[in-house]
Amino acid sequence: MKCKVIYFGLIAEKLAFDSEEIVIETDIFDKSNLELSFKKRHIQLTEMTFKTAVDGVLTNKIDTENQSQIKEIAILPPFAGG
Amino acid sequence: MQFYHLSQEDNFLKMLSDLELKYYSRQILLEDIGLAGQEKLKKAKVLVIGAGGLGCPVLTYLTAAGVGNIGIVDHDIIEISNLHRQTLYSFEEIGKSKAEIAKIKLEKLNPFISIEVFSIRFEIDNALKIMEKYEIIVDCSDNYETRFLVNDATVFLNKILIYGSIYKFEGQVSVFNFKNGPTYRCLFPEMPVKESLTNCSLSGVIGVLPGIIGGFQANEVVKIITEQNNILSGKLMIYNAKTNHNQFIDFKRNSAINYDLLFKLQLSTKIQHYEISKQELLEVEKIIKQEILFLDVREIGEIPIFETENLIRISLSKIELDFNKIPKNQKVIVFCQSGIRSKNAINLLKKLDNFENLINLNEGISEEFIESWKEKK
Repeated sequence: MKCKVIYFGLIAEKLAFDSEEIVIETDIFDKSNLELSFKKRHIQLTEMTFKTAVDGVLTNKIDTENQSQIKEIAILPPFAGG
Repeated sequence: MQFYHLSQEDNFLKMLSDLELKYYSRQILLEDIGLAGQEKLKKAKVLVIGAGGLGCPVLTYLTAAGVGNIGIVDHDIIEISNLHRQTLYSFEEIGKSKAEIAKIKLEKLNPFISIEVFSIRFEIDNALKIMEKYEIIVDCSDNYETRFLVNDATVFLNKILIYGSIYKFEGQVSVFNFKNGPTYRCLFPEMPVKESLTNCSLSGVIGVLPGIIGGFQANEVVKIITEQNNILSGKLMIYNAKTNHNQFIDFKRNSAINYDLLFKLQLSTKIQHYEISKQELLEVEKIIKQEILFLDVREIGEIPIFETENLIRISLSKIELDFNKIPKNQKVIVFCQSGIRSKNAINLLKKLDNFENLINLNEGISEEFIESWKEKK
């Protein structure tokens, strides 16, 4: 099952795209550490600060039993501008 | 106007003059506000930190809504590049204090409220004093250092924090520490390092965006004061001005964060002889481990031996020779066997080169602490 990944702010800018489709089973190498998985997936993110959310809930993990149900992962950097 | 004279609202009429009732009439008509809500707004005390892109709409709407006591913190002056988004200011005011000009403009908009100005930088030494009398804090700052300080001080004083921030075409909004709800550090526990130089001045921002995000912030303030539902607590709203898409992320309070300690650690850069206990250090290390460096001032061969990353050894007897090896840009936990030599080392280092980042591990190092530290690693 494909899952949509949405990238925000500076991260989308670094990657030069703001979303992509992935297959969780094969594209996420460590389901218990999404931040690390995305840093491995995209070298531009290695030193960046961000949090991950799965289907609208902040978490760094994927529940492997229900991974085929996941529709969306959001990659959230902090913003400082005011 | 008939609705001013409803008998059940008589108590509230004493709070608001006829002119004020006329001023707020369209708002008072709303069932969710009414006279009771308007009185709550008049009594409310709200501090806005930053009178820039976000601060301008927040201040304008809070003033117009009748928030009775507003504080403005901003040390900056008005620049020409501010004017496309900071709509309280005009061309002829370039070079003048943002906070002072904002006060003048806002008092013209609503003469029935009181505005206090702090034309100073919001810093650790003045944070508590400035925030003290306010109930709700609105973070309209433009850098991570201030944002983390505002958050920690807000939680330390148990105030409600309305968060808003922007990046180019995107904005984030949330409400922190509302009825023991989550805080900024529950979302982002540590201050970013790499991205810390990014702000509107460097990355650019669409002028309308702070108006939208600031509007959301002001709306949350009014909702909280007038005790409405659906507050953005435990939710991060992310708005995209290009796509008009709103995303909501749910998050919970991280009860492991010790805010009292975090704030004391921030204060430690200003307080002489700040000390930390081993238990406190074990707790705080969970959150800011990458910022801490250990300095062992014992002589070679003393036990117990403490091995960890980010540790330097300079015995007290050699500290005058080697003090230039100690960084000044991160927290340094200084330890010895009992906490006495480390305290002396800190005093000496302050005299030698004005070190302000040193924290004494009181009661010194112990086998027990080392074991606990190893377990954590």
